[in-house]
Amino acid sequence: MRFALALIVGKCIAVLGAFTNRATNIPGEIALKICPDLFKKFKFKGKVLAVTGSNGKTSTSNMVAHILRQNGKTVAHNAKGSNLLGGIATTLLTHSSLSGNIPQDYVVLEVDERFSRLIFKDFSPDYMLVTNLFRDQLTRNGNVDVIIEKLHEAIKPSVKLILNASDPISAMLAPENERVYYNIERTSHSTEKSINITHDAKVCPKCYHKMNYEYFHYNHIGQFECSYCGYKTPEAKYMFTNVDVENGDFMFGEFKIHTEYKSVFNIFNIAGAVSACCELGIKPVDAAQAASKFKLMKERYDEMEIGSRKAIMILSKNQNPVSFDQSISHVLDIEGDKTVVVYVGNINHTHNRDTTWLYDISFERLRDDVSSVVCIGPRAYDLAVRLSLAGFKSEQIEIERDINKIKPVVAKTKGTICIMTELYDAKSVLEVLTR
Amino acid sequence: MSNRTVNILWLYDELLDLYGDSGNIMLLRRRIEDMGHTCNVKTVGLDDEIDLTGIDMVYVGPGKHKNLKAAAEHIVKYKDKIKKYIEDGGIVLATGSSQVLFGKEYDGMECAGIFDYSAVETGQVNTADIVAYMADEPKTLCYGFVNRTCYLTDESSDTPVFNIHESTYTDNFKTNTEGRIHNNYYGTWMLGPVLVKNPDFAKMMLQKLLGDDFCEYDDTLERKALKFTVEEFIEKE
Ligand SMILES: [Zn+2]
Repeated sequence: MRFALALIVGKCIAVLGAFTNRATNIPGEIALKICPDLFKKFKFKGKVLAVTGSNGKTSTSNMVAHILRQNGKTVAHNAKGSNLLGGIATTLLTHSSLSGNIPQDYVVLEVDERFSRLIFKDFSPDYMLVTNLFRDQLTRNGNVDVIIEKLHEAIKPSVKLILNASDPISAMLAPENERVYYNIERTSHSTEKSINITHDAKVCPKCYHKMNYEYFHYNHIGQFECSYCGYKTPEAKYMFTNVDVENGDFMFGEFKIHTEYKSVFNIFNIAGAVSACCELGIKPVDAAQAASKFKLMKERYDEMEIGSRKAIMILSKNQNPVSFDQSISHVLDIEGDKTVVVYVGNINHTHNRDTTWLYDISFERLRDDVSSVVCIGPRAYDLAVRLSLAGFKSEQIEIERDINKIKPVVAKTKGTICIMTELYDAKSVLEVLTR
Repeated sequence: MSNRTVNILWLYDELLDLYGDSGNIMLLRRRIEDMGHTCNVKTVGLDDEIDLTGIDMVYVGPGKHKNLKAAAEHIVKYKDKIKKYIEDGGIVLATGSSQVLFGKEYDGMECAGIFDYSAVETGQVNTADIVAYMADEPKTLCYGFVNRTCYLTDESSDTPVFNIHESTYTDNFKTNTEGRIHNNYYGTWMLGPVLVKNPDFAKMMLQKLLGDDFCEYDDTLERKALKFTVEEFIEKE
């Protein structure tokens, strides 16, 4: 009866946690300690969809849950991005009856790609949506191939994959598994050369010869073909067309979709979410309609006033160059004078002083667009060196290692303040600036 | 001072592209151009031949396991040319796991065979901060980041690139030395933009590369960045 005990204890802690606003993974972690094979015991009434990938999995899985709910379905979902073992366990146990039945029509789980093999050791999703695979926190995760090996351990033969046809890396996951692809047509933002330094498929991931691209959406996401082995963009079952990035409008078959978050990256997230919902049995027209009503969580992007200046916080993940590249695209879309504020500390978790990852971010794109960049944190000078190599003029670079002293430094700059930083660093920056 | 053209060969720029490697080329190009010279960077992939004619420096960075094996299969075809280039004093900078390509064997694949070591892949990620003195420069401290999954059968060379400072002694480097110098070949486990992070190491490379055509430049910003890094290790003394 360890299972029942684990559920009761987990549920109690979750209820208490809801009042104290504690982390959402603790109830699950404790339940797993009481009953290590907790995951084996759940009985799902509905289909289980896992959403994973390097970037965009939180937004995408939130959107899937939103579309399903808008269509009258009940959904169990880890909305707050608690995507490790404990978080998944919390989500399942809070939705479960004491006998282990999860009655919702669907279970939508955002899953960390590195932990997927542990999470899915004792149960398996019916579907898995993979948004994309990029280099991300190499110190902690290892390279993309290491992530692929871990995903391969997680993906059982029965799992149906929903894959991004424009990503040469994730498109070739688990080749024996049943799969459908989604894709976005060329847009006005597509480029013939990659505008980013980070590009994880310069060579073909199958044969290692040079990969050819007709165009890029962003980083290595694009229309590809290897002339050596013939590996090319697979045919998509779900195609998104007539993309007007500026206005956030595009078509899914005959149905129009609109988004307020006007980036190709976000449109890919929507495409993934809508495609997954169609696989789960929602009608395309209903999926498209519900997707247009989706609001992105505020945590990733927020606007505010600091004194008389407008400030924008754009979540940018450390050691994740694609996340920074996305933020840079965002800054470029902002009109008028702007100042970018970036905090660079040591590596999260390991505290290494490595700043290698700064060389994979295309800061060059900002050079002619921003008045200045304020470099903050223990590794502020390393960022300044990186910017100087990117061709920034010395008068564009402000350096202050001590976060508590940045207020007068930022006061000297002009225009919209764009805080391009990890969530918790951004909060510290805001606290000092609004003091 | 005469205007010169410096030819750098970036081996497997697309195949071996773990992270941050473009920083080294960015820095070399910037310095060389600021001195009034021209910097040409040629790149080589699996579909190209390695031609070392007129090459002043070879740069190669770390890569993923399978990519390294593909590189090994390619480089072995040019082992004689590469050996002659290195024996004739050609400059090579090999960072991180790219060093395996200059040994005898990597994971069952024959490599260029310049050195007697073979390389063993462990699959375990090992990371370390290294603060170290440049060989023959007992006062010049450098910083490097090591992130590796493979080892050489003979890690301890008699002619290391760096002597590790005691503040960063690690099981990763049992002899407390790091890297290998042979003529003008420099192999180091420090990866990413080592030349950017270590202005003295960069200066030494540029002096080798340019000889009499080298001129002084301002690297205050890099020196400050390094100082703040090194201080976090040495301060304790
Ligand atoms: Zn191929």
